[in-house]
Amino acid sequence: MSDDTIELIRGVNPFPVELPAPAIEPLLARVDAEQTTPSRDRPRRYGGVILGVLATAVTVAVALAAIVLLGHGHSRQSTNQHRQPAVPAAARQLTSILGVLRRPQTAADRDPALIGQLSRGAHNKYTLGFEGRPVLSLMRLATIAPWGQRIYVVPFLAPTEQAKKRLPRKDQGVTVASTAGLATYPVTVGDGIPAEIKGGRDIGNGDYAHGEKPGSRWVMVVPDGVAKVALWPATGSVAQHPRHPTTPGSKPIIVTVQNNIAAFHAPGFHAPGQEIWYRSNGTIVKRIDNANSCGPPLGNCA
Amino acid sequence: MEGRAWFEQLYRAHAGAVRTYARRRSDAQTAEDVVADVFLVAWRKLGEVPGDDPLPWLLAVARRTLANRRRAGVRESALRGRLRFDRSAPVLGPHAASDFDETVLVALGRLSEQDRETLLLVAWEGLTPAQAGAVVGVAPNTFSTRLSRARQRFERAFGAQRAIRVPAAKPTSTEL
Repeated sequence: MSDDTIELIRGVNPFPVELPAPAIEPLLARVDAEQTTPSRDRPRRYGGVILGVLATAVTVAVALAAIVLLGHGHSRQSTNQHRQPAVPAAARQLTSILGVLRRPQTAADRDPALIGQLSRGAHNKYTLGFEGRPVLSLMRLATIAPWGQRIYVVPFLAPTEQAKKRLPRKDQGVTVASTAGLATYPVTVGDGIPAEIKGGRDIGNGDYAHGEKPGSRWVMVVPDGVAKVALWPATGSVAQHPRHPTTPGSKPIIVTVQNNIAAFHAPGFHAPGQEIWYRSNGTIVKRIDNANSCGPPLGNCA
Repeated sequence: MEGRAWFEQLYRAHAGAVRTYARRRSDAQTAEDVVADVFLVAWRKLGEVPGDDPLPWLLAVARRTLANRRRAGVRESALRGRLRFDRSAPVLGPHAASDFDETVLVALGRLSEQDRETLLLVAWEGLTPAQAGAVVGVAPNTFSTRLSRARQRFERAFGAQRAIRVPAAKPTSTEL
């Protein structure tokens, strides 16, 4: 009787046909009003006209004093930060080293196609088990690459034990990150965990679109304070030299960093051998020898 | 603005379904209010709305919105000292029904809210167990188990109600 039961109940559906959608215009007006309404409207209480005028004058005086003391930029930043949703504790290791994640999210950061893609992944047991859950409130448009592509960054919280258990038995032993990591789109980089980023190893060329040869479009994530990156390509056979020796005297690729991202187009580049990170004043932040990307052309390097 | 365009597309595609869902469980004005509330929430949380199958997410918000309104309504009634609650009465939409249909409605009304919603999401909204599970916040398997149990309880309630109604005793109907 089970299917009959459903049929029986279907038979008493008071509205068996879908109703038309209400007009959208009133809703859009409310949406627009929400966008223009200040986050906190103070209710006004007037004891009388004079009291009201006095209150307004005092408020204006206090506001002017605050602007003079704190400056425009600081006060605006404070307001925006107040509106931002709380950062998950697990993602704070990333936000502490990546300024791009600390700035307020704007409409430009929320690419609908990417949001759709990430939302689909949020219901996929493989994505949840291997990559974890994306933190959409921290999704940012980081830069526009030299080849015109928008580069987005999205932190992922590490897969939960529950999500790992939902993976097929054969995949349950696979080692996955135990800390939050940063994913880049559409060019896939490395693991994106803080240690990889700080070690100069969060670099990759996972975008094979537009008929380009693999390896020509590179994206690298670097921590705060790095304004420019010089990379010396590793040379020689990767198989023979797993640590990618750099040819002495070879010319480096110099890349300017924007919002923690160094994006560069380099046909023939296979892996970084040596890196030097520079501050905006030209001084050296860090020198990395034998940098090892372990990106797609190289496979999993130990 | 891309987010806005996507939002409008979302509304045009699913506002009717949300309205119908709410209307099946409330009066016309409440249903329209629920549609507005649901899509305002969707606008505020655009990033959380699943791109491939947003309807279960929207219905989940509609379900919570309706529950909040019902709770607020009950609180208001209680304050006015006019609260009447009849477990035998279905919390369902308007329906001029035959005796048989009324028996089905009363049997539904005798179920717990969870059992009733489980059945209605499948029978009225036409959702799959995976979609319906997303609406009530449980895994598809859990929902299938709930559905099976809810069917059994409905069948018992329906059988009992038919036995009562054989002498053509008309049940009282009180709308909440």
